[in-house]
Amino acid sequence: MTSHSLKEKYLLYKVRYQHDAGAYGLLYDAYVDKIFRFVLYKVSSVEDAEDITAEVFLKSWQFIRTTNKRVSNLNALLYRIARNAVIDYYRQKKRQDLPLTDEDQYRDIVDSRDVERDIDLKLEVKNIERALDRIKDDYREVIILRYVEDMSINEIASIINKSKSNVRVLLHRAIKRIQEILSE
Amino acid sequence: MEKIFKQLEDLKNVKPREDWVRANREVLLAQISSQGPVRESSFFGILNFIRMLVPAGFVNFLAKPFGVVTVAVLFVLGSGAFTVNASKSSIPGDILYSVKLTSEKVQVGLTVSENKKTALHVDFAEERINEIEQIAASTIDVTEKREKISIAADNFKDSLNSVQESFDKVKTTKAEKDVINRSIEVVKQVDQKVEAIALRLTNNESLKSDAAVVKSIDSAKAEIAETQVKAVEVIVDKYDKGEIELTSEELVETVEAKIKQVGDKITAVAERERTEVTSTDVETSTVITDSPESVNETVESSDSSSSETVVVAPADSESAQRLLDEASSLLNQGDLINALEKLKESSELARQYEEVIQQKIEELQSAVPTTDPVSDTSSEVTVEPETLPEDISVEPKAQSEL
Repeated sequence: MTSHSLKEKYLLYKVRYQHDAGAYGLLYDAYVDKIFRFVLYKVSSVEDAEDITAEVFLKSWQFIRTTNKRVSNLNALLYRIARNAVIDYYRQKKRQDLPLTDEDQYRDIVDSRDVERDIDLKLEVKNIERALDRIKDDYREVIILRYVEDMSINEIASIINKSKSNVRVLLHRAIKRIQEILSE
Repeated sequence: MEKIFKQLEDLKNVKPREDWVRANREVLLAQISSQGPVRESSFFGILNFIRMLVPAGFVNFLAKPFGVVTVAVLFVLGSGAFTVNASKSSIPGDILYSVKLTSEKVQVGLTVSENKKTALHVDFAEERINEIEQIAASTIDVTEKREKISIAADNFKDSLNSVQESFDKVKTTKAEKDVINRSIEVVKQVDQKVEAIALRLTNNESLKSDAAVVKSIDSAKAEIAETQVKAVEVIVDKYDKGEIELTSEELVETVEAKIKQVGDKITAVAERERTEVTSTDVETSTVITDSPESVNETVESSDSSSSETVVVAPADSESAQRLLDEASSLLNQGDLINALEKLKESSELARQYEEVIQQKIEELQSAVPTTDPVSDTSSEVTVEPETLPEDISVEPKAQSEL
């Protein structure tokens, strides 16, 4: 389901005006993987990522149902809510920065994922993940949104509430940082 | 550098645990379902949906007078969602009718729940009946009416076919008990709705004037009957498999009601046979004989034994009724499955019987106005074809024609 497809609009309509849980279930199916992934790379703990993702979908439901504004981009809405949820999560945990690379936590993430790949690839991916873990949250965010979730600059700008040029600069710097880490 | 992008892309394969996704979905849906009943969509609901499809500025545009004119022009030219709205009141033959049918198909396509799809098919079937009533009540000429009603009736039958297919799906689906129960509720509701439609068709006098129209309507009613039998079949089947909660009394009641329905139908057709086929049969046999004396005799003899001049068709009321009685007794013995089988056979036979009678009536109606056999026997006789069918028992008049 693309974000501007008729089907999505129709499901949103059903959610908003008919409080149709079934329709919302379908939207959940379309977005749950993405939102989980996004949150996971921010919090590095599968359990927390699951909890936060669950909260994101509940909050989105409330928002769609009660807002006066038209929800024209569900994709952006979900990511925005996810971002805010992670921020709240950190406030609760009283953390200012990203958690330090924790080998045990890291292993949890890799082992508990439903990924079918051969060993070589796994190693490579581990590398990139380690690198991602080490960069700033701002950098990591734009990299994930751009290169994992295939979002446009426009969409990213709307999600993180920054200008387009800002996003481009962040992306450039983020990739540079990753390169530096990988060549260490 | 490229490697980095490739590795990042591979991260797309990172997914949450399947069982968590499923469990969370159930929890989520339970939480949101408990927050309040589903609101039925209303006219404003549809309006809101269309507003959602349309860019925000457009709605303001519409408020201005020239906006209204532009939209009216768009109606004529036909574009997008507005045409769909305009097509809602069209009937077969109208330019926008195909848009209407297409938008209905789109609606079904966008619906996910099978139960809701079934409900939509029934709604659209009902709409076909609305169209038929509208056409019948209009002042267009008979040939056009026949054509349009036939189109609407065909589409009606298609919709009911889709409903029957969804019943088959219910039959073969294995699911949670409450899911099946909900599907069975839908089946029951459909049964009631199509029953109401059958009644509308039966009671509409304007549909009885033309033979071809009657044929279209009868085939539509036959489809309804088939749908209803299928509905009972699904219910019995699910009950038999232990998949639904239905007291045996409710089930017996359901099947009994169907038996009564079929019985009523057989009676109705037999009545038609008696009044329209028998009497005209007698008159036909009267006018075909050569000598005046035998005309007399025929009139007298057929008068006393009118029931013997009825041609017994293979599909007749007795056979159909016999099967129905068998169904009834099987039901009383508690053999639901076989009772249902007999019911189906009886219903099928009743349908064939109705077709045969209908055909006979048509033949007689077309035969009577054109033949003038009495004038062969006597040159001075003037027969008024239109009054022949009514004259059957009036011997003095027959005698005076000699």
